[in-house]
Amino acid sequence: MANPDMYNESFNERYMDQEEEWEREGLLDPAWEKQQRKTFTAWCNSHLRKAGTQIENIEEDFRNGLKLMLLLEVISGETLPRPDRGKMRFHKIANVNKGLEFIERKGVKLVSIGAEEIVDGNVKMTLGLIWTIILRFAIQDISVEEMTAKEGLLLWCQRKTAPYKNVNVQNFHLSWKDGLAFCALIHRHRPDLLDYGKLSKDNPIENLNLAFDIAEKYLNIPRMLDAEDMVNTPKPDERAVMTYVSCYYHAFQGAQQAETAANRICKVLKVNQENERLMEEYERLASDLLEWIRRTTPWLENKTTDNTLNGVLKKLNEFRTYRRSHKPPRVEQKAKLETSFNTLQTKLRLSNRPAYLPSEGKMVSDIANAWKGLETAEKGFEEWLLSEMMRLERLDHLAQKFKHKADIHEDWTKGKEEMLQSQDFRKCKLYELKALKKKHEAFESDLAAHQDRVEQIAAIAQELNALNYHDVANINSRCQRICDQWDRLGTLTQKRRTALEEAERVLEKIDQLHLEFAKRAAPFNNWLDGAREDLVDMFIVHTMDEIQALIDAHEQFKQTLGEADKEHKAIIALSQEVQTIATQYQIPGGIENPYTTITSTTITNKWGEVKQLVPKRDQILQTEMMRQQSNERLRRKFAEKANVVGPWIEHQIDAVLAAGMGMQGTLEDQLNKLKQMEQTVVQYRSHIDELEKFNQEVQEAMIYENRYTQYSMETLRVGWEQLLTSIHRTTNEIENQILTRDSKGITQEQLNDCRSSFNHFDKTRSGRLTPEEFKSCLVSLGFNIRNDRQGEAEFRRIMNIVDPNNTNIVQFEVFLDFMTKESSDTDTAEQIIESFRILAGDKPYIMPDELQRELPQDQADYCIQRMPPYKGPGAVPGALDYMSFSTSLYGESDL
Amino acid sequence: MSQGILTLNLARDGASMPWGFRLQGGSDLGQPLTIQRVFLGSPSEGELHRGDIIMRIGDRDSNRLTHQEAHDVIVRSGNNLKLVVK
Repeated sequence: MANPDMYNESFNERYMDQEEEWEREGLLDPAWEKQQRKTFTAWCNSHLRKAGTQIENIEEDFRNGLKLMLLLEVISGETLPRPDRGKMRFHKIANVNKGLEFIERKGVKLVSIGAEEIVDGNVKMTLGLIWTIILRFAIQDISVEEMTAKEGLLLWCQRKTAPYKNVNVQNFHLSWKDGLAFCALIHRHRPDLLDYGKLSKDNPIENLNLAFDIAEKYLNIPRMLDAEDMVNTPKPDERAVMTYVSCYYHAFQGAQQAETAANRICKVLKVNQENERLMEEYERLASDLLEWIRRTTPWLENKTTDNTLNGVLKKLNEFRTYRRSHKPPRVEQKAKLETSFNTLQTKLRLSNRPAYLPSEGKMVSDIANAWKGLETAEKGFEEWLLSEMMRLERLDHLAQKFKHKADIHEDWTKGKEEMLQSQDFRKCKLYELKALKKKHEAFESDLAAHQDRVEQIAAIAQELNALNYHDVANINSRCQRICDQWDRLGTLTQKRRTALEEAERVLEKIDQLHLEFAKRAAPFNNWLDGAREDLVDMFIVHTMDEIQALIDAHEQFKQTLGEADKEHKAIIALSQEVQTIATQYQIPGGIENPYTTITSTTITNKWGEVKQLVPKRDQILQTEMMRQQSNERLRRKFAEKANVVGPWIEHQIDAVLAAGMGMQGTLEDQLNKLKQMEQTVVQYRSHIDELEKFNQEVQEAMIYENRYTQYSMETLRVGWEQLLTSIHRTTNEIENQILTRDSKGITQEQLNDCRSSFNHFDKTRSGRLTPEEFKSCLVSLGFNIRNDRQGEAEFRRIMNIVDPNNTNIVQFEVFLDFMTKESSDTDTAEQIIESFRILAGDKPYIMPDELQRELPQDQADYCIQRMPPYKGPGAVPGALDYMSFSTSLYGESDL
Repeated sequence: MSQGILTLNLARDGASMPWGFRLQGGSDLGQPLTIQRVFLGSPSEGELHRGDIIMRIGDRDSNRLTHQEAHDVIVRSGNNLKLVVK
């Protein structure tokens, strides 16, 4: 940014310069005054000269006003009022005033200049007045392009000196100092008067003088400036220079007029040029517009499309763009053209020029016609576009309809050809085929129903063709495809129908065969199954008879094989016929037999198996025969031995039991006998072992039955064990009985009683009794067990004693124990009480002395110490309660 | 051999009249409390029977009573005796 101070400074300087310039009017520099006096005097004289007079001293010669008035008349060409003829001061003032009034009438305000100062010979005032006159009459007229007089003069100078490079007129003082400006002015107008090329800036005096001389000599312009003054004065007086320069201006007035003429010509030419420019522009615009119309119209007249809605839409869009963007500038252009044309014609008329006639074909009417043509085309084009759009929409709709129908149809036909060509029925069973036939019939009626649609599709295609649909090629090919396919479908349908009917016939024939096959194969298969089963039947035979029966049955079976073979061949033949027919007619679906799961392969296999099994069976039966023979020998061997050993064991057991019954001899005798028996039995062991060996052989031969003996090894072993056990048990029993007898003091008779009773009820000879047997046994021994609650309770009491563990078994030893307890009458509380009662003489109490008297000392003391006193009825002092004592001995108490 | 459980209410006229049964067993003797004998003409006749096992005496479970304890409980029961037997 520039320094504002510096800017202001330079501005002020310039301003000050100007100010100084205008100040000079009041404060006249002596050098300037000298210059002005000289110049103005010369100027005045140059005019006064025309009136035959002149002035010597400028401030003196205008004092009476007469020469002033004369000067004004000369320079204005007008007549001033008669001057006053007197020589009196007031006359002078009056005359000066007349001059001043004339000046004022010319529109110049003389503010500070008074007549008296002029009359008094005031130099400053006089020079000012003269300057005013010079300015008004010599300079004011100079008006180049409406500038002020001064500026006009300056501009005139600048223009005239413009071609001279070393001259630059910027003012009316310093710019003129070198004299070149004057020379240039002269040379410009009168090049003949000086050779400007020889002039130099460095010779100002010469230059000035040259100009002044030539001006004086050839241009009738007196020397108004002094060359030396000009050069020596730092700044020449502006008014003086202006005055002198104005003389140059007036001197070259003729040239000035020529210039004015030139200007006028220029003006006219300018008008012409402008008009021509307008004409050219009109021509250009008209050409352009016409060219555009010429170009555009065919596009608007081009009513061809690619037949697609999109194409038309694109065109419509283009048309809209044309209407929106391309046409408006042209409308403007046309309007401008018309306006220009009118303006041009008006201008021509006003400038008295002949009217403009555009070149051929570019008349306004031509343009209007072309435009009208364009608009007509445009209107037609728009209408055509819209109708085309409607047509194509209809076509599009039709095409859509075609497509829709074709889609539906193609969707429907999809897979139909494959379905019709399918050989599926060949794998069908008869019932499936019948279903397929029904299905096909349904399809045929469906197909007939679709005829309408195909016709519709063809009709639409035809219409599309008639309406020239753009993609008619595709439509036609598709329509053709559909029609072709339709024909194919018809043919295929017919073919399939024929094929299905043939297949049905064949399958029915096959079905008959299948049925026959099934009827015969089933029983034959059953027979085969039975035969196979029988042939591999896992027989278990134990006798020769059984195996012989099997062999006979097998022989009988073999007799039937011939018949079976015939049946087999017949059945296979049926199956083969099915195969042949199915292969011949290519209907594998018929091969499977719906009536049976039995296949000929199965039959053949089974038949083959049966045929193989027959000899195998023969062999198996023979082997079994031999095995049975061997078994028979083993049986006999075992039986012979068992039949000896068995009875022996039974005999021995009987003997032991008889000994155990204890009916013969004393217990000791029985015991001895048993010991002998045991000895015998131990020695017999080797027979059992031998028998075990035979048995092992029998078992290894898987023989389970032996009709030659009732004895089995198991029964013999049990018998053997039983024999040993019974010997031991009986021995033990007898030993126990000896112990019991010895401890309980029962007699042999009592023991025998018990034994015989027990044995009587021990029907199983197990040495044990069930509760019921025991009850019967007790009753037989004299126990009063009634069949009532009392009896029941009594029996339960006894059972609690003999069977405390509730095993429901009563053993002889326990029974014997019970019997001795019940019958020995010794140790129960009751027995004691009864014994005391006898000692007490039937009293319910006993006296100590009675005890001491009846019992040994120890026992008497024991009783006396322990017996509680008797408190019952009829008690006497010292009486003892033997009942409580007795019961308490057995853990009992009477309550 | 009925194993039914019976509740018996015995009554007597006074403490001098015995209940008329012989008691056997007790937890100390390794045998259940059992009626060993019923005396004719006593309050127990027709009510208790030989072999009856006493389960409760009055309101007491008699399974664990010793012979003497059972004896004492019966003696202390006054003129009305409730027995549960099987």
